[in-house]
Amino acid sequence: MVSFILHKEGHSADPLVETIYDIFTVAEFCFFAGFFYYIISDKSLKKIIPVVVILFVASSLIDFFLVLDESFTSGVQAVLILIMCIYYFFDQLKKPNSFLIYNNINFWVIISFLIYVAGTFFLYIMAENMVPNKEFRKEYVIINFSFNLLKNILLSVAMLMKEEKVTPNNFTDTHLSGDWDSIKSINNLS
Amino acid sequence: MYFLQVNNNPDTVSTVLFFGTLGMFVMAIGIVVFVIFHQRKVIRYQLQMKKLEDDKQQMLLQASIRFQEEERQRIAADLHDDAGPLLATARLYLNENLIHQEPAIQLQSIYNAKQIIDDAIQLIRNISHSLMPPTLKNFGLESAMTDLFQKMNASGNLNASVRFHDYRVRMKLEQELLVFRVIQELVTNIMKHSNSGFIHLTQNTNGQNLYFRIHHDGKGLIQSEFDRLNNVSTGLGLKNIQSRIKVLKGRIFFEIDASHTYYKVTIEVPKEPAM
Repeated sequence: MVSFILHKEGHSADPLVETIYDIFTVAEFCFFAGFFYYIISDKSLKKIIPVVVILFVASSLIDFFLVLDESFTSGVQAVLILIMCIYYFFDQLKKPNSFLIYNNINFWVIISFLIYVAGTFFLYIMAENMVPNKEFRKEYVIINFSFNLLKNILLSVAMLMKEEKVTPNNFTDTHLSGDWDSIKSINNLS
Repeated sequence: MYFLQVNNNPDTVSTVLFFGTLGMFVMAIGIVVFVIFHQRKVIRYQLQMKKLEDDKQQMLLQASIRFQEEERQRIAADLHDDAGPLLATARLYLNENLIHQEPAIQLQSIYNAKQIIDDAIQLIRNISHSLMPPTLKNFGLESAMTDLFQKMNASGNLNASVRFHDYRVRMKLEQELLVFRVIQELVTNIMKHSNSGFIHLTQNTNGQNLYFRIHHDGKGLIQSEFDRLNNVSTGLGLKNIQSRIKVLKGRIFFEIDASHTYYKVTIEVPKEPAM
């Protein structure tokens, strides 16, 4: 939305816009890393994620103040998010789940980011060098907005869907008295 | 990237951007589709395996119930057909005492009744021993196996021997009884079906496991045949062996030696010493 308004206003090359883009990129990555931290079960990987976030923020700051190449931050962010998404799928395939992966809310959040990041990967890494190109700017808007829309649709699916709960398949049912299968029930008979 | 920086031609940029984006998009969709289909395949396979396992459990359970019923019928038949008539006859002899007052006849009928009651006692003892061998209860598995193999040897048709290498600490009685029943079933099968000239039982210990191995020179089974016979609905003996091994949390392995001269059955049981 911000990029759309700024584009309409003709502020695309403005330093303020660049700053907003950079802050957005870092914030987006931090939120995604936080979400990823929350959904994965591997404890050793959980220890690595904060380190990766710190390194990413540090590299973004260096890039922002010294290098001034926005594509670098976007490229690194995209690659890290892609790795996290693929790891999530790998982790899910390893687990002996008996319910289907697409019944899980996390799956829809992950694919929304996977598709968005994969679709805009080339766009962002080319953006730094191609901004003066008018044709590129037009394509940038189309591609970015299309994938953004797709991402938001998938996130909406995630928000609207109900989590499938695993129903217990045993006899500890509330209809039965609490001690029906215990030694107490035998004692009660006598 | 180098190519794009050097060549800033709008057409080239569009083409690279289009194909790059399309390629990445297809790759992302491909990953998602692969994950979904692979997971469905894995779940289907797991369900199939679970169904097979459930069927097997069901079969073992049915075999166990059938075995119990057959055992009850056998005991009922023994009591009804043998003990019942014996006791009825003894009662007749004792009744005779009330009718005939002559001491000689009374003495004879009491003697006959005593003989019959002795037979009945022996019969009931035999039934009781078949349910729980007294040697096993009082002296342990080694003595019970030796006793069983000595009886087999006494028949003269078979050379049967037992050797326990390391059985200083007895297992729990329930475990010993299960092992005894498994070996008894195996030995009965060997005697019935294999035409073997010798049966040799050895016992050993390794770490936390006890091992029992039967060698015989007749026609035996190998593991694949045992698994196959275990999964068919007919036959009870092998299923009982399997269910008892499962209760023991042990393993059983059927094999033939490299020279194809004798068969081996190895039973592995985790040690659970009696208190």
